[in-house]
Amino acid sequence: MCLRLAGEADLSVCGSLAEALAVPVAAGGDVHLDLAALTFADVSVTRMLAQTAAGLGPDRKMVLHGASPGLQRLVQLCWPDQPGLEVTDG
Amino acid sequence: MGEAVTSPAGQLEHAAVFYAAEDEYLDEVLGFVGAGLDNGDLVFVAVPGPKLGLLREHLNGRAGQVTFADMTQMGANPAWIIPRVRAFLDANPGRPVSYVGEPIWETRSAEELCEATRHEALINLAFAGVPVSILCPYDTTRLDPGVIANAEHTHPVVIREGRPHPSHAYAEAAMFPEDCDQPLPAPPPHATALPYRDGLAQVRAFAGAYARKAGLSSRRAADLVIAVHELAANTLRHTSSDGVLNIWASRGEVVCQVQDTGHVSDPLAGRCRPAPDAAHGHGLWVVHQLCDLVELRTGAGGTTVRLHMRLSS
Repeated sequence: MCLRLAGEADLSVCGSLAEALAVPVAAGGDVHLDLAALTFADVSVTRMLAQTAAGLGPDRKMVLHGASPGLQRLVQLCWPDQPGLEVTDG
Repeated sequence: MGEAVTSPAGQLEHAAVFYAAEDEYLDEVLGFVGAGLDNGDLVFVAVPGPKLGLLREHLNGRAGQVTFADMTQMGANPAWIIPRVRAFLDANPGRPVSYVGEPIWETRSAEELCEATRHEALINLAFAGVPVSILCPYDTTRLDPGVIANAEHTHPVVIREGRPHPSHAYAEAAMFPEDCDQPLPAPPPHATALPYRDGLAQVRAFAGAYARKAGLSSRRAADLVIAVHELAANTLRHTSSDGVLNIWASRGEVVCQVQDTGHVSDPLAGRCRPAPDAAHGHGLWVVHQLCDLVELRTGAGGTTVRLHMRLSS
């Protein structure tokens, strides 16, 4: 299941992002996020993605598609070895 | 080291060695490295580039047993050094480590010298109780006497003319030397100020537009926007007052200052990577990692953080 995020996401949207993420998480399988139109994500949002990925369990993963260089930097700096979290350019 | 200055086994040793000539430098550093290797320590040497070649050459066959890093890269921002040394320790759990760190050289700016001196003071806190022996060379012929005096303040042991002594100026109570712990000077008159509370999108747009116009690449401007945003987000999270962003360009760099009424209680905040599941601390970690230099002053009156981004980096 794929969820698409667009615009800028910071701590002010963490509540609604958590609600949106709950849908693909509950659906089972891997969680794919299309982030090509997400121009900014802060540490709060990245933390939520990493911790949601961590909670998926051993057989599932979250894949971030089209993450901006800034978001990729945040993942690399803070959650470089997060099990269940995959970042791809495409 | 002499009997009077040895620490209990398994404790941090942190000595400044003052040298005036190349042969003295080689004697001291090679002696320390050789003793570490003989002791079975893992040895890590981070000194400015040209000295790496000199040390490698004189270590003869033993250079292969030593990990080297160019301190002008690894410690360009002095806040990067403690996490890098910690990563070296963590990669080799249980092994004693000898580390040569030369974070202070004469071409550093006044702000960098101050932050590198604060880094030296924070070493004592960061590695208290850790089995690591640290030697910090200081070039007395090129460095200002005030810098040398500060090294005596930040090191429990100083080595002069080959002899270690306890440093009488070392003061755990006043962690930082006085001249490196002053409030930051006011932003210059040409700085642009933006007070903010919850309009963080406006803070990001303002900082990003200014940084790109001043000549930062889009990637580095994006890094600066993240850093400024995280500081402003901390204002929102930890205080109930407005913050103020000041931004200006000077001497080949863009400088952003974020000021609020918050207080940063941990002197090592931003110098240790927080655990992945930590609820706090990632913001200041990211700020220190992304910027060329970070000056942070905090106290009862509030917190001021000044971020430097060089146009040439």
